[in-house]
Amino acid sequence: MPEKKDPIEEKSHATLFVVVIALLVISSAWAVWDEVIGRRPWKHYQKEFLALAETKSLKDLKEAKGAMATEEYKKLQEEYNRVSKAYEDNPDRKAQVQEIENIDRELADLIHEFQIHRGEYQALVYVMEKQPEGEGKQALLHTVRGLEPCIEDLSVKMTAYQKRKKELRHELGGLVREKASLEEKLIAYRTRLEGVERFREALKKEKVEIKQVVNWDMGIIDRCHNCHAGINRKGFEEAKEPFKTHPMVVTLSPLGPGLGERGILDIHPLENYGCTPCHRGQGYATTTAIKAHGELEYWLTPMLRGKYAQANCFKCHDYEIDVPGGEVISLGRKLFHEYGCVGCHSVRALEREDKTRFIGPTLDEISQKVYPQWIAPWVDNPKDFRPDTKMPHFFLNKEEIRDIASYLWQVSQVSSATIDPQEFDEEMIKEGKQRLENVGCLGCHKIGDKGSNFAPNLNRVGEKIRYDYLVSWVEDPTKHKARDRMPSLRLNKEEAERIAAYLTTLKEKVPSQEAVDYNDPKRAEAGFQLIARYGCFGCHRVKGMEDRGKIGADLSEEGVKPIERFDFALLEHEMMHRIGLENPRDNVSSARQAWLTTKLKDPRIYDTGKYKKPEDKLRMPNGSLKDEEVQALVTFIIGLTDEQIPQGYKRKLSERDQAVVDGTFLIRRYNCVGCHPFSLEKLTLKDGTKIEGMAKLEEEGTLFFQLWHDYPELGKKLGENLAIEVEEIKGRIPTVGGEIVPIIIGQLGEEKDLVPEEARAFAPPFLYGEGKRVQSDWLFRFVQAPYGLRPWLDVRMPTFGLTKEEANILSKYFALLDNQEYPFERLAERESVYVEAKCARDSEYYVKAKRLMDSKDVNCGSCHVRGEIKPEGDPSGWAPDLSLAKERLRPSWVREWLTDPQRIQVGTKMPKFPWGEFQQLFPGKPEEQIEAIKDLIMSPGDLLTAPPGTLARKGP
Amino acid sequence: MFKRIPLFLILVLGAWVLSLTTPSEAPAYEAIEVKDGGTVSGVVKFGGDIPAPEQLNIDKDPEVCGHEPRFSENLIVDKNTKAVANAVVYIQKIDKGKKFPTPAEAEAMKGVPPGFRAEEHAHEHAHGEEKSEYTLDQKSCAFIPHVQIIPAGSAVELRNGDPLMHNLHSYSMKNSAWNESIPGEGKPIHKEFPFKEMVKVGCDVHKWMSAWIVVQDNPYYYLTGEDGTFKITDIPPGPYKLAIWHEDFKKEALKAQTKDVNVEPGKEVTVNFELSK
Ligand SMILES: [Cu+2]
Repeated sequence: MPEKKDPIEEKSHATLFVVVIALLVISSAWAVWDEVIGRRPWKHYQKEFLALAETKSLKDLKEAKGAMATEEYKKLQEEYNRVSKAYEDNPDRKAQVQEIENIDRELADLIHEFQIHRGEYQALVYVMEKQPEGEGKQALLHTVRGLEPCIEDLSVKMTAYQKRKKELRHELGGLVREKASLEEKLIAYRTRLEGVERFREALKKEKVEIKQVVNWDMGIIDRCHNCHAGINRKGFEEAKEPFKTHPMVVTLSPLGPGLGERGILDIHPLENYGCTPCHRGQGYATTTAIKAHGELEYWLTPMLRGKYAQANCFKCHDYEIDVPGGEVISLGRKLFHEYGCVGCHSVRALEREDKTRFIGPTLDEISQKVYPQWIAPWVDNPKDFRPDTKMPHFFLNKEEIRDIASYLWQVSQVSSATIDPQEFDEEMIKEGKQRLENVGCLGCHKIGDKGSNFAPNLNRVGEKIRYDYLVSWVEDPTKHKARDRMPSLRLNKEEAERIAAYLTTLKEKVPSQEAVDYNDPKRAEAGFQLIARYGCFGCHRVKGMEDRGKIGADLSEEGVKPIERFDFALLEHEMMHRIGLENPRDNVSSARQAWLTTKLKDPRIYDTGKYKKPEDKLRMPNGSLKDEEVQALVTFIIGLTDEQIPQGYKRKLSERDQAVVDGTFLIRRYNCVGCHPFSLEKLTLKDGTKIEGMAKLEEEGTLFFQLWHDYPELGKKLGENLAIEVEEIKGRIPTVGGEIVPIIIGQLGEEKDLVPEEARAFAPPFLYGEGKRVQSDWLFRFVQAPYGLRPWLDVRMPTFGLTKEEANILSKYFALLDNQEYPFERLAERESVYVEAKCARDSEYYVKAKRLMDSKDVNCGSCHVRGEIKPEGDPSGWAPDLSLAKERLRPSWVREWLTDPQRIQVGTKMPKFPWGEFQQLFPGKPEEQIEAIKDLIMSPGDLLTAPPGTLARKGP
Repeated sequence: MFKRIPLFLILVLGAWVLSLTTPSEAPAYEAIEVKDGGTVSGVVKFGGDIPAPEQLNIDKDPEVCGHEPRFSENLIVDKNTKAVANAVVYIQKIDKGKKFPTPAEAEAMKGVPPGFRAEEHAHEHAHGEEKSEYTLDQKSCAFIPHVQIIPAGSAVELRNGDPLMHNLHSYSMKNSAWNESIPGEGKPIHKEFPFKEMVKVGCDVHKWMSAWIVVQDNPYYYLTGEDGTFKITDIPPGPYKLAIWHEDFKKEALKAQTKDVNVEPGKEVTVNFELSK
């Protein structure tokens, strides 16, 4: 009987089982591999980085140790030991220090005594000289002679002390300096070694593990530094990616005032902020670089690389005009306003700038203002007439331009002006040119290649604007309805006529005389439609269209607008090919940047190849922007998002910073910087020295730099020059403002043969320290209604017609910038209680002060105007009116100014107070004399200008 | 006094002193003994019509500054010979040569100043007084001397011989600028001039006052007097550039006047200048 096979035994599933088991094992192994290695490329990177860091730090360690084993180091050490032993062993050291201190005390007493004695002596001599010959005179002479030995004796003593002090300091100073400098060199060696050792300690503790920054407030989970392991460590600047040090861990030069050598990452530490708030990307992805960078389909915020990352500064720093370290976005923001983009595009974040959006002149007066023949060529190609104009090119044909002109012509006021150009004699033109140059027009306008680009270039203004209009415009621009920034220079009619006559001569071509007719009402109707379409009223005031809204797209959230809504038209394939993408969705950031860049460079490019009716074509005009301007604008625009930043993370400005930002905005808007210098120049030298002052001359690789502070470490005092080799300069922040200063200096050199330093006094005043100088409420009034304060200046502070709010912003800006009290402060010197108190102590107090002021060796009135009392000589040699001082100046400033004017404004014409004289007029220390003059200048009522003899009666 | 200086300041100060290099005090001039040196001499004359002297507008302090009309010293030309006074003739670049003069020796390196009255100054020599420093004095609201040459690194004593306050304001660019007032007959002040430069000095109280301190980095110079002649001696033989400076002429015009001279041992070369406006 055949063996019955057991089906269970017979049917073997072994193979299947083996296969399945194998599969299970493999897939488990794969899962493990993938989990441990495949999905963790960062492990590999971290290991590589640790190895790299180990090698590098080992090399550093060897070098640092090696340096300390050299002969050089040993010699330094020996030298230091020798010097410090010599210093310690010097038995005289303590005695010497003590002696110097004693001498200083003795000297102070001696000098005071000397001044008093000499004062008495001089007074006596004076009395004696006036005496008629006789016995009385002889007796006086005898007394005088009797005083002489005492004075002589004092003076000898003083000289001896001074000599001894100099000797002592020399002896002492030599060793101290030597010791300190050696010590510092030794310390540098040790610091270097310690730095490397510390780094290696930290390295030992470092593990290969997942690292992350979590910030729930901002919704950040960033793991970027798992691969970018060197990103916030110094020393890996030259390493390969992804290990490189972030270029802004420490920037080489200070980013801005007060920032010093801190980089963006020092201010926004990685541990709090991660990377994505600036760079975007997919912060928590760790499996591939592409995923982590978010540069793949469906990820809506791919990484922003390089300068484009500045786009995100704006979401926290939306109030600042200049974001330190965010130069590109700051420029973009500035250009967005200056090119008039705000005229057509709404941006929620810029609403406060909306009221200043008219960057072009009003067109309400065009028929009185320009020659009719000028309009068509101008609109057709503005850059042809004026290469630096901000007026863009609109895609209009000749008929359309004529239609627009007809509308504007017909709604503008009828001209009464004669159209024929007038002839003027040479003398008048010359005087006009001179006045234009010296009153300060070039602070904003350019003629030839001299002047500023702030306001319209005047080079061909004679081809454009009619004489009569020029006269009335120059005389008082504020009379015209234009809410323009051109201020009134308070010129009279004759001056305005001369300047206008000169301006009419500024021509390059003979203007066309061809008759043009803008009176056709049908054309005006068509023009109206065109203006409505192209939105001229975004930048210009246009009569009859004041209420029109903005014609362009709202850009408030342009940075996160879905990529599908960017119309690449027929260019998509070509453009994507250029940036290495298949489809815009593959990297929406690159695609968005490409679209915007292309649009800004050529606004009608997306019409290419499309069939459109003329009125359907794209409307944005071409501003002929430079590449860096396009980049800045794109950066600004992609930073406009709907993102809500938690309040704690927005830059909170202190009251002072806020005042500075607001003030800076106005100072730029009215171009105060065109005339006034505002800050000192700042230099950082290669050895780390930082200095502030003014560059005076650069010659053969040497910069002669005038210091505006004391620098004992350089052995230099305020006002002295430091000669610096230009190649020793590491960072240089130039003076802000004062564009017109070199022009005025050059002009006075030509006309009056003044050397540059001499001519500087005729330039607009330096506003460095203005807050310390003037009272805030005076400044508030002055900027609204300025007047001639400095009689020697031709250049004139214009009347801008500032509003009360604007004047407040400016006075607050200056006060807070210099850390002064604002808005209210008490000036005791101006109160009668103060005067009474002074007089109670010394009824002659103000009388003596006045006598001192008027004495031949102080003689303030020799240069200073005092109300109705004018100094001798030509007004160009006069100085400011002292009777205005009590309303204008801060008493503390007056005191400092009198003490040493050069310490406040280096190079000023104001002489130093003659120190230590006048005991016969005002017995006391110089400080007391200065205090009294200050009190008199600041006193209420007419104490200062009252005739002599009446002052005493003012006392109680 | 010394205790009050914080330690870090001493450290920094020390570091600075050691690292102290004096940039741009150019390749320093080296004094050597000059044997058989040559001489360059000549005369500076005015070309063209002599402009009428400019009358000063003396509108202040007449009791001290004087009532009589006075004329600017900017350009002093002899009516007959057309000789130009107060011109500085100098060798432009020279690294080695005779030593710098002392203030007394420097007296021989200039001509007789215009309007100089020997008898007025007789007492100076009668007293056997030797000039020991460079001075800038003020009398009747005018600087004396109007132009002077000093070696780089030397000091000038600023004085006030008038009975009222003057302030001396230097309009220098390379040398530290200053503005110092000295009361009537007050104490003199010393100022150093380390760099080669033509320094103008003025008084802010009396606008018409001006003086020039010409700082030279080598001792081969001469200040012309009323006869316009100059003589530069003991020049080591070789080719040089002879330059001229005068306050009243434009830089470019003066530059164009620079002349090549070849100095031979023991010989005298004659070079003349003609300045015109
Ligand atoms: Cu004076």
